[in-house]
Amino acid sequence: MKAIKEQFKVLDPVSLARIDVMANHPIFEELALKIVTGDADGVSDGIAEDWAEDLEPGPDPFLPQLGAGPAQRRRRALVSAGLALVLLAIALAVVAGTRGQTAGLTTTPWRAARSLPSGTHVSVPHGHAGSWELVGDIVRSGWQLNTSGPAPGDLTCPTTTACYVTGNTATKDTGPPVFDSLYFSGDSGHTWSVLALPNGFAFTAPVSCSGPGTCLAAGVVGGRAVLIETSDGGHEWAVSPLSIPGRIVSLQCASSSSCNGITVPDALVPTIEDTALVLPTNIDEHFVHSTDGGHSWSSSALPPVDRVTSMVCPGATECTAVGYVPSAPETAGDYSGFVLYTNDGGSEWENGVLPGSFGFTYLSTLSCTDATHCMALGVVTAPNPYQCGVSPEKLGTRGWSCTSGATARVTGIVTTDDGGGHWQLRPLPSDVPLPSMYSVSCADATTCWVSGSEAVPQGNNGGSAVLLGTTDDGVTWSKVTFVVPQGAPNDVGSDAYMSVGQISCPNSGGCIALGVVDQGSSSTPVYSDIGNGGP
Amino acid sequence: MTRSRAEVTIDARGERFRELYIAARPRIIAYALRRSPSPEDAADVVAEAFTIAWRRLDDVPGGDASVLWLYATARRVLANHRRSLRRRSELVDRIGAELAACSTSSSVTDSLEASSARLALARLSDDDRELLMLTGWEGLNAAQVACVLSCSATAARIRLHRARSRLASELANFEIDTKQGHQPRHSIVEGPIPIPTPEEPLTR
Repeated sequence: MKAIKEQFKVLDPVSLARIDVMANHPIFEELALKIVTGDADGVSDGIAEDWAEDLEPGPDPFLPQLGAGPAQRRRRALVSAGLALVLLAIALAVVAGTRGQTAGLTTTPWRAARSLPSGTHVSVPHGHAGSWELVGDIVRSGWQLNTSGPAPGDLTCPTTTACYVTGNTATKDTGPPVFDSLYFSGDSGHTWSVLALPNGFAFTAPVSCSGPGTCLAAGVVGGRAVLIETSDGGHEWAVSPLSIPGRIVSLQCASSSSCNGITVPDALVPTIEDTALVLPTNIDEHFVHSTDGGHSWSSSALPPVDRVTSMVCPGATECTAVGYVPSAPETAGDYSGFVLYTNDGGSEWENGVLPGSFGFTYLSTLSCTDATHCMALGVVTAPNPYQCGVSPEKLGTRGWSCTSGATARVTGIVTTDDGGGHWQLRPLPSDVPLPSMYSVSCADATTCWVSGSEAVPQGNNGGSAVLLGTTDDGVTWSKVTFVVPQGAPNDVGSDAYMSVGQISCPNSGGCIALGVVDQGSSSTPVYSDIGNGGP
Repeated sequence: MTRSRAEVTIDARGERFRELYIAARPRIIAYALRRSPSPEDAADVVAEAFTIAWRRLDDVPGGDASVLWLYATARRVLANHRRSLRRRSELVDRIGAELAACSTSSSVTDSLEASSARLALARLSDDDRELLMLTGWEGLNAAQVACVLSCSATAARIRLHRARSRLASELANFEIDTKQGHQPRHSIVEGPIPIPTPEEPLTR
């Protein structure tokens, strides 16, 4: 046998002596640099320069956007080149064994948040309604909101005092949104500040926070998928390339290490959060799971459904997702919709059973407080309270016109208490005409709030903002409506304050919600019921 | 200003990767060269294996097991390379050109003994050949081979024993053939020796 080993050794096609010499060739230091800067795939060169620009703090979205003149371009070029050299030196130091300041080239400089003015142009005191109060506004010249749906800014409140909102700064009411700003409130929504993000970063999913200052977010920088992480409330961000194909459009971190998400192919992201008119179909969606805070991921294809609109993971391995089929013909009382749920971290998915008359749409959302209790918003068919020839022709001076149908598509609410296997339809109050609800958030297994609008004209508005609360898992509801305050900034379509969009109830201590206003409106109303007793 | 947790983590990651990169680099280069159709492909495998190690550094075990983890990763990278055409970067091409100098003499200068052994090796199954290469060239013992191939140490020992027996048998057959004046049943193997497809686990 020894002879065989010796014979085998002579077949070795490489010279170990030469390998030892070769391994110390400087070219391998160059390779190491490429690896730690994320460019080892060789798709593009000059990555150090790219990252230098990436990590330069972004422009303050609240300052006027000046055109770049020759001097400014030269300054930016010098800054980029200088940062590139610094980053190059740091990376080489890693390879050479010198401990660098930030070896991974991925931490932004610390930046203070910039305070925003509170809603001083709204009459004081702000409106009260039930346990809720209109507490202020996220004020920004050019704050953009979508005219065809709920506020595009996503609200994330890890506690009843700390909330983050991803902001859309698109300047047109058509085309894809631009989620490149982040707002923070540390006082239950009364005052807000804007945080600096890595330059060029845009969100592809709402921020996920496992604590008041510990958050992970998915997005893109220069067309590349990245994750950004903060542990100090968004003053510093660690940026790392996403280690899996596609881009994350849903992210749920139960802790600083355990995260779940959904990815879609890169090309779909610009349109997936756009209006309903351009939603792609047959998306190749993958469920992804990380146990190290997003540094590495396992990925598995979701069952062939099209497409998931909301996923919630109340535990590390328990997730529930709802969605619909964009291409399915939609007729009254026959809506598409599906529920998927897993209890093993995505290895196996089960299908839930929905009521026959219920379905989901592109706006459908979900809230789960534990592995068994969830509430979801979808659509059902209900009698049309404003049928032409039967009811008033027009509601309000600008608002709703009557429609010919005897029935209309309205929001339906379903709940489950078995982890998603079976769902029950929960009737909404009869005094909410044409309910159109956008968001749901549950503080515990039976206490939930849903937010949206009802077809009740108010001044120039055709509808009114409404919140519905329940303490018995949707069997009964309490209703909260708001009077549009005097002096409200109706500076675009004059129909601000007619709906409530995102809502977040981190615990039984209360909730924060954002109003929906027109594209181009100068503020977003903020509602709160913190410490007021709930529904 | 105190350094953030993210900064400290990044520093630790960089330091750990540097140590792994320096320690394992010669062995992974050799591993890739022995199994790749060209030095450029070997360079690509090396680059990709270490890139995966950087991205998944928290998954890389400590100590000597880190090299075994890299061998297993390189093995999967090789399998993926065979399934897809990749556009190599300019840097990888330059590394490949440098690695070409690491190859030993070609088969035309092989001794008769080496030619016989090369032929015998080529006659073995992919599984047997990979086992013998890991032990004979990478210098791994059975327990380490088990780590790379994701099988039990006992299974690795048994299969290694069988592989060596089959290689001895092939060598004996070759000697009989040549003594009787027969031409070898296969021509001398040139270039890299075929290797098993890693995506299919070896039979336990």
